[in-house]
Amino acid sequence: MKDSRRLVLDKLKEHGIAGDTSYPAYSHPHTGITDPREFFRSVVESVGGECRFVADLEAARKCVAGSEVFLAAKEVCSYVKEVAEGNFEAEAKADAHQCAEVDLTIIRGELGVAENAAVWINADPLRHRALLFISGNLVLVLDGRDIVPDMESAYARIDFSRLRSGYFISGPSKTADIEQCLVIGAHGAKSLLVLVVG
Amino acid sequence: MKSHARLAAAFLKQEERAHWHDQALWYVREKRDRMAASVPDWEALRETAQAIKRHALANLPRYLEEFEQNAAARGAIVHYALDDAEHNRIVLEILKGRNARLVAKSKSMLSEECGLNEFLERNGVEVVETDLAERIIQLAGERPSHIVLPSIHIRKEEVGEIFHKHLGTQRGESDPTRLTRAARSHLRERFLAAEAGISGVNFAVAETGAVVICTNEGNADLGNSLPDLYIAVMGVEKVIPKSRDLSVFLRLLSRSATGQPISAYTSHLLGPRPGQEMHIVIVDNGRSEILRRERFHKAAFCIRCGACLNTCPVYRRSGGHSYNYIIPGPIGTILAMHRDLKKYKDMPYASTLCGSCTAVCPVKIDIHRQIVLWRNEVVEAGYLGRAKSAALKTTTLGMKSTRLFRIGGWAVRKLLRILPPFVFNNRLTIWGRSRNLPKMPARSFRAEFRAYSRSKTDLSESRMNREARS
Amino acid sequence: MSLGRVGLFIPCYIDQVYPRVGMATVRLLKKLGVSFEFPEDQTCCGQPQFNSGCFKDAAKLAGKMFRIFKDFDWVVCPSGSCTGMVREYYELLLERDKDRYEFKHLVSHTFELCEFLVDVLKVETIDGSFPHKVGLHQSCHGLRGLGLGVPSEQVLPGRTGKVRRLLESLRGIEIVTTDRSDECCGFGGTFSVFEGAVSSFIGRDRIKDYERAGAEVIVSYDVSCLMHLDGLICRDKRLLKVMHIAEILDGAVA
Repeated sequence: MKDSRRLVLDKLKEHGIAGDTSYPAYSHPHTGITDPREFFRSVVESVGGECRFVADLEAARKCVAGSEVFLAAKEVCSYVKEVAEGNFEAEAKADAHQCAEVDLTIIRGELGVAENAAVWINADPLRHRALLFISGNLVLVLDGRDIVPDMESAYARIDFSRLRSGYFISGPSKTADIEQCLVIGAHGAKSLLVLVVG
Repeated sequence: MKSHARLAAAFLKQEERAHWHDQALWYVREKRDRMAASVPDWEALRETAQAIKRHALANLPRYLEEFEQNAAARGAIVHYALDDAEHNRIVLEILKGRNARLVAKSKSMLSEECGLNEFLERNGVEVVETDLAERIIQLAGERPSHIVLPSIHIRKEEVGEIFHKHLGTQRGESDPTRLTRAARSHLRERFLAAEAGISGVNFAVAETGAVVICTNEGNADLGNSLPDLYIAVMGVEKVIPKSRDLSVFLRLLSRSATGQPISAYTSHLLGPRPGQEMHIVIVDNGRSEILRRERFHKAAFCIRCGACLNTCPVYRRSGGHSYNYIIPGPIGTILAMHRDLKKYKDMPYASTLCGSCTAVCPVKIDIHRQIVLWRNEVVEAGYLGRAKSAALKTTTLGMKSTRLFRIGGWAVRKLLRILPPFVFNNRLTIWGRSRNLPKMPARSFRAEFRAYSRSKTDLSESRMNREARS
Repeated sequence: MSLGRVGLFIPCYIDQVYPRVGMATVRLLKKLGVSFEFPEDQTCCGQPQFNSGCFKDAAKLAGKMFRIFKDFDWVVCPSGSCTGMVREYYELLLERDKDRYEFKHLVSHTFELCEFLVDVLKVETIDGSFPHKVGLHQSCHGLRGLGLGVPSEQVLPGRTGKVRRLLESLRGIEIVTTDRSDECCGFGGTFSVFEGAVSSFIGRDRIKDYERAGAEVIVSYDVSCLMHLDGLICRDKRLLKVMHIAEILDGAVA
């Protein structure tokens, strides 16, 4: 095995890349975004999600409590107790497979990106990161101050030094693999609600 | 092996289907155009992406080692494979070591390139493709016809048939939502039973050791989080220097690929989850050779977005299966040629050289230029074919001498004017099969121009004479 | 403004098959007051050979072209494709000459007719009329290779482009909007023969697009694309006409 490593690295030492090979200095802010919150909301909707602005966590609670997804959910797993109590404790389960029937997961996002509706989720506090993908539906709770305009500003804010896993999630899971017809809810969440608080 | 021209002609026999295929992909290109136009700095982003690739690939050993050290520090086990065979062997050994017999696999062009599935199946490991399109392909026993939309050539009624046979859905079901739901529950059960997950990698970040994987369905994400064993396979060219560079590539990738602002899920994995074993297999399999060839090295910059396929007028109207290499279309052509010049000699000719591939490429690979350069390699290797070579040689001879050119041109025009049109506008000539030849003029331009100049000179001379007289 | 020596580069197929396009170019240039020469020794730029991969053969013809045109101040050609051949690819073929001053001059001073009008003669409008519905076919080599317009897949300013601007200035003209603004017609040089089925299929799609948009005439700066399209139009007995832009401009100007 060691031999192949050496061989591969040696083979790559020689290359035919001509011209300037220095690392480029760059900055490409998305200058077209004047109102990041509104932009974020419209993109969330364009990617098949739902976005609500709420004044505080109490308003968020009401919003969730009244939602169809919540009312229909049998197993609700909540990491934001102010928004919903939940009746399923993923942290108490030894194995992620036990989370397979969870209908709704409510969790905090750290960052929202206006240009593409991606919400950054640090999955390290979770015992089972699979919950993010196995759960039938997702509610992401985001602080209104944490919406940035573009990916460049997003990566400037993410600290990778101790991170083990982080995810950008933009809208619910989807596929267009059958005749380019968009179907929401492939393997992951069938719906996604982003609650922007404050 | 049939040539692209023959396979494409067969594809086009089903005219309605060919139009549907073309339109479905054109629709994706239009979405891509709208998305590209929505980013103020789009063209500059492409420049930057190429500059980062140029830098990263010129310094690959350094970045690979940095990536490897960081990934290992986070607990991932890193392997290197020289070629496809070694890649397959490593993956099999890892699976056997953990006694894994069922693998939930996510789409990976690298594994297609290496023939991983067939290899594992031969060795008693069941591989379930979990991307919906890949699963359709797998159940149908076909190969992908597109690198991002593998089942773009299959119609919903046919998916219904395949699912009826393999998943027990109702006969005649062709509703995409219901078919997708059926696949979801079928694959959910496989996910829960799988002992290992395998996925490709979109980007590997040297400074953190992160592997980054983009999907819309969430399948790679289930596959890398649920089982206790996860294997990420990647080509050496996937390494980028910094996390910040992801902002450049992620902004380009999905917009170029499907016209989305970003894919639904972008996983950043830095080592295994607690209780999991994570392996990263880094594969060369000819990439170092691509990088060594100055004229062709940019082919290794490819981030597999598939935009060049969607925009290619030939790909859209000939289907992915008309190209004999596993990666079809413009990018497939310039990758295939490195593999086997003789075997894929017809691929560079499956292009009008319109250049749209180069113009959409998010990392600005000079695709159409490389295609024409590959034609030259085919010719130099003597693979063009006798008839075509002879025809071109004769033309060159005729063009080299102005005299021959004039005489030859006159003779051909004369002949075509004398012969009744059915002689050349018929099914036996390649041009005439579906097109008429233009009506041949009696005189060439040069003859007309000479006459014109003479009359002009006569005119101006007579004018001058008149003026002189008065 | 004195331009110095202007050489007229007439592609081989225009010389032999479409003399009327060459003559329209001649008359148009005269009307615009350009004096030029037509070097009779010229034959072909080598594009058919080059595009087929026969670089050695193409180099022989490129060398001939270079010898014929190297002493001209400007070279004008009524074809985007052949101009592109000189500008983009001659350096690949004439390795030995590529650093010579005359070579660099030839490459940078060979112009397609429309861009010669716009960029060199600084023509902004054409005083004439063409009261017809026109489908503009922006041939790929001119569009992407020479930048005669901005291709629909690129995000760049100046979308109108040089050719369109010239046409738009004609009185009574209507340039129709097609579903696909600049898709390839499928000609592709020897591609049209090597891959006849795909080539014709693409061409028919293009023609239908122009028909849907209500065009009476397809106009292009490349008569090679038009030869392919016209071949299909005649075979299918459609009513569309094809015209080279030189014919339209020449006919429109008094």
